[in-house]
Amino acid sequence: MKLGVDSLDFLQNAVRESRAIRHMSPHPFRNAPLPEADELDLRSYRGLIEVHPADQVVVVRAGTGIRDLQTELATQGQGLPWVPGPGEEENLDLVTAIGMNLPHLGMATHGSWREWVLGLTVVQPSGEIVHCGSRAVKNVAGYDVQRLLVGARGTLGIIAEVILRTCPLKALPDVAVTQAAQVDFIQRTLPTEFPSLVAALGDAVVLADKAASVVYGVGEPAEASTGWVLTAGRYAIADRVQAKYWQRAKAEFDPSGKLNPGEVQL
Amino acid sequence: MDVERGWLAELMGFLRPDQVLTGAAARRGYDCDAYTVDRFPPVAIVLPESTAEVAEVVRWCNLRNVPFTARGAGTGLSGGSLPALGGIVISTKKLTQILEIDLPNRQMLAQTGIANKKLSDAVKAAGLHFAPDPSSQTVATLGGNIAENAGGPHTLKYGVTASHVVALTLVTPEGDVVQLGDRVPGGPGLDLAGLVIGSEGTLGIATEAWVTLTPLPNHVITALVAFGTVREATESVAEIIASGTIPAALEIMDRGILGALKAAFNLEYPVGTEALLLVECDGDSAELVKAEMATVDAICRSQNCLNLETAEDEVARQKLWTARKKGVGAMGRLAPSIVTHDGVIPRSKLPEMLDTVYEVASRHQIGVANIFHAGDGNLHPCFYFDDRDPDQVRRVVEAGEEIMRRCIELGGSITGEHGIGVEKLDLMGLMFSPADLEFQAQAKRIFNDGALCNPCKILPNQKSCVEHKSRWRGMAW
Amino acid sequence: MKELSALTSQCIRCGFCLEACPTFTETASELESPRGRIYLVRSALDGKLNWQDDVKPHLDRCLGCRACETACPSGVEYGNILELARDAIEGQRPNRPRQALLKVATDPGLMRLQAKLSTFLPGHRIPNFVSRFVSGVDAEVDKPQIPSDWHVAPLLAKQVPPVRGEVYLLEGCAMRVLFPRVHLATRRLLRRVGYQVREVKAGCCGAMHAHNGGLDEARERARDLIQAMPDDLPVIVNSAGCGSTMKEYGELLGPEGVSFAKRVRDVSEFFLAEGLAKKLMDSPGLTNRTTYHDACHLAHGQKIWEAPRKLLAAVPGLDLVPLAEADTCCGSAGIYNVTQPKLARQLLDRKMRHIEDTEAEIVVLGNPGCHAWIAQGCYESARKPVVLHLAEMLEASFIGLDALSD
Repeated sequence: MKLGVDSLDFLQNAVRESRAIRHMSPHPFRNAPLPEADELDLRSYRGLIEVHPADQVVVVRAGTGIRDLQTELATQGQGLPWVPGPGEEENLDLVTAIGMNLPHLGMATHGSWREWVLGLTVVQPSGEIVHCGSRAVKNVAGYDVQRLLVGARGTLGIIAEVILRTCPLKALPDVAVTQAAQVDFIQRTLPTEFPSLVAALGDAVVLADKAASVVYGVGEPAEASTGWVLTAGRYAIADRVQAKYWQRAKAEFDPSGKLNPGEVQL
Repeated sequence: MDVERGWLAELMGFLRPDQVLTGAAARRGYDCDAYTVDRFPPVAIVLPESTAEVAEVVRWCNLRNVPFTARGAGTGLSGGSLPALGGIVISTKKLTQILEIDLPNRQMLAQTGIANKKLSDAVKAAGLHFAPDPSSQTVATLGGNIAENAGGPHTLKYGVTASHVVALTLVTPEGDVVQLGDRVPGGPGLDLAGLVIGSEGTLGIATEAWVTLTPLPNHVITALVAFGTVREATESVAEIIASGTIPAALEIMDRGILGALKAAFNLEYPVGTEALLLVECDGDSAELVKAEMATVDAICRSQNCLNLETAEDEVARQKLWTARKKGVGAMGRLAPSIVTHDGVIPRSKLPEMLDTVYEVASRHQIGVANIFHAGDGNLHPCFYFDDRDPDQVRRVVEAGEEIMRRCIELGGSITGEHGIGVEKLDLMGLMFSPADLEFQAQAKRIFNDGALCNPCKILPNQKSCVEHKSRWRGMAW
Repeated sequence: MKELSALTSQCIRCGFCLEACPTFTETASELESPRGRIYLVRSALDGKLNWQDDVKPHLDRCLGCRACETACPSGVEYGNILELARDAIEGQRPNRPRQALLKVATDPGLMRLQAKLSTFLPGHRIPNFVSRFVSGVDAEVDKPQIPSDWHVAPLLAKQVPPVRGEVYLLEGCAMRVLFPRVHLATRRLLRRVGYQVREVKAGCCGAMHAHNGGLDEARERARDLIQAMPDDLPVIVNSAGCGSTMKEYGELLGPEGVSFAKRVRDVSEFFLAEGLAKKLMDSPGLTNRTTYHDACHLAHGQKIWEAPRKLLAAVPGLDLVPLAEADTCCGSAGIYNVTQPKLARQLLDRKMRHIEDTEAEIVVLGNPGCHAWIAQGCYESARKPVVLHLAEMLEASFIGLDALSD
């Protein structure tokens, strides 16, 4: 069943009533959907809830597209330091970008979603609505669950609303990529290992950004001694420690396995 | 006592005698950190010298069902290293080595018992530093910074500890040794290191960490601005941030602090000064830094500042920083006791929040001074009082809670850098609903589903803590 | 003196003193830190701990270097706390061997005699049976060695300016016996800036007693010293430990000590104020690679860091290199190297590692305790740097180092 979500109530009810839910937008780097899961489309749950340019904070519904958000923020002299890589959907919704902690070209100077997400409103598999973090740019009260949900691929809770730290327009990264291309992997290493990685990749390189030491490529990634790679298709975890704690996290947050089944191979 | 002797014999089976401290003096010496309201003595303190030894101690604690609490320099301000249920204190102070410096990649691997400042000292010649700079940085350890996700004046521009620690070695609450994070940040997957950083030592003991090193700016200008009202100073801060300028530091000190500084060091400021604003702009381009400072200058003048003094060379800049750095210490000379609160609000709410602080203090008839990270909206109201008078203590507690409630109402937080520890357990319920707290408890259980690793911290109403709490609550001098 | 309980309550337990404390950085134990010790003292005052069993061992391990006072943002008077607490402990149960050691160390006659007698004992080091008697463990310090006298031609009237004033010079106890050359150099330098020493018979200043739990005895010696040095002349001191105590006679004695304390000057501050730097610039100078160690009681006790360095910088041609952790205690700390030999040795090793790193030929300092202890480290090292008092070094800028070689 495919459902368009346009309110928190609707989302809450849908989650309560469903046994298996897929809820992020299609993306080449996501795993293939399982046919038996209900599809929740959050893209109609969009729009800004609060904007505080003086505090550099925005509260926004998670279905909002990033380009739409940037346009709104720009009217207030603010923006997100998000610089999409080649082939990236420019108006990708937040729930997908944050769920995957999608890499981008401003990472080296402005960090990733993990640094920008200050707080979340999350719908749990039980339908319970919970909050974590706060609107304060500096906050150490309690566990930073929001950091854990960024990059959790929607497997631990459904991100419904986001509190984001914004950046003055003049402090945004000065990179622009217009090139559209197919990308099979995104890879990043330490700066010193970057030249040899690029050399090893040869023709596979679609874009090599030295500043962020990140490569967007086609075909197969090359071995690198340090760093990470994100490949299209099946997302599986090689690291034993990641796998162990992801399993534990899953057992705590979503013991019935309702959320984004098949999204992560544990 | 026999149980205790048996324990010690077992611990000494894998540690040298000088790595195990016990006896009345040791138990007393480690019964609190820099937060002194709550105290409880451990049975023994161990001083492991390697990750393996830490793991061995933790496994032994699991085997014997003994609570354990990690401790660095003991400079925490919320009781994070208080051994709330007794047991063993695991000190990291023998883990003080820098293991690797990778200058080309601007990273460093260090053991977590090393003092924060030593990290910067080690790479100063290379023009780098470790950016988090809590006031206690000459002593506070890297491990403590990780546990509390420490901040400091310059985190406004450079970010808190979580932004500067990319990977760590963790001894889990069960005694396993795991590597979390990645030397190359921003990657896919669960941010396990991000969850552990700031978890106040409740998710295990970090023994080594890869930290990022930040280039020292080529150009720095510091300004100390005097204002005739606190509101003009706070309005200036809001305007500076709104202008899109992000200074390296934006700190405010009010008249209470200036009074203490005069009493302690005979420091004088222009007549009629009610607040001092310290602004630091830095960067690699002299022109950009100058332009930023010109913006600051114009804003402060439009807010009727009484005086604006700038400095560019190191000695003159340090002189301007004196008021900020010595302020809290100077408070020690005003009254026998001080409580430093730590609340956060969205920075645009600073003017009205400050009004609230003064109103609350005057209604409760307590002296208050403010010294704080204005750029982050991170307040530090310091109440000074006589702790020998129970009525004053009660008023201080009530006033503190009122201020915290207001921080939450304004969309802020009950702590920006000191942590919850045991100090703010009761306030967690004001900021988070029971369901929110259970959500956090789920995250905690990923690493720690027992009751041994730094028990009774962060989350209120933990099993076995509620009843025990009366034994450590308020055991001040 | 202020009351011990009031002094301890000034500590807000921030812990800023920890990394400044040599015994904390060596042992990593809170109980061997200033904050820990203050807490233990306070707990004993409250009856929660036992002075002798719980508190004393940790106070015994304190060097008394007062680096913590420099680090403290709240102005806690640790030195006073330590002296009062040790006095309280000593008052309960006197430590006879330590008192005997103090007596020898502060009586020039006895010390000279002992040094002579010790030449009859076998070996270079203090015999272990003696060390164990005091500290319970084997010795780390050698028997006192008295350097040879210094034979230099007296200053001629045409070499020096006319006399413009008189000063007293504290000859003291240990300095007088162990380093007579330092006094000679000090006198010559004083004369070079137009001062002559008014000669008096005066003995020990009481510093060692005050530091080791003998406040009454310290007061007695302080009164004797004040009496021996009447009128309003400056009192020049070339031993940092003594100078530090004498500047705090007000604390020790009350009003009668205050005015005397104001007259006390360390050689370095006096010489800098009296224009020796300018005279040094016109002297032949020295070219040796040299480093400077801050005696604890000069840096932390008297807050003097700049003056000696400025004077050394005025020596033409001198290759002055900074010493890492220059103001961290070397472990000598009065009689500490005899009472706590193990820790003292660890601290000396640390100091020597830093000295070796500078590749200096000469180590300059301003206190007899550090002088003897670091000289021991230098004697044992491969490079064998020479240890000189600041006064010796500055005088050598005028007359050359050869005059100093034994």
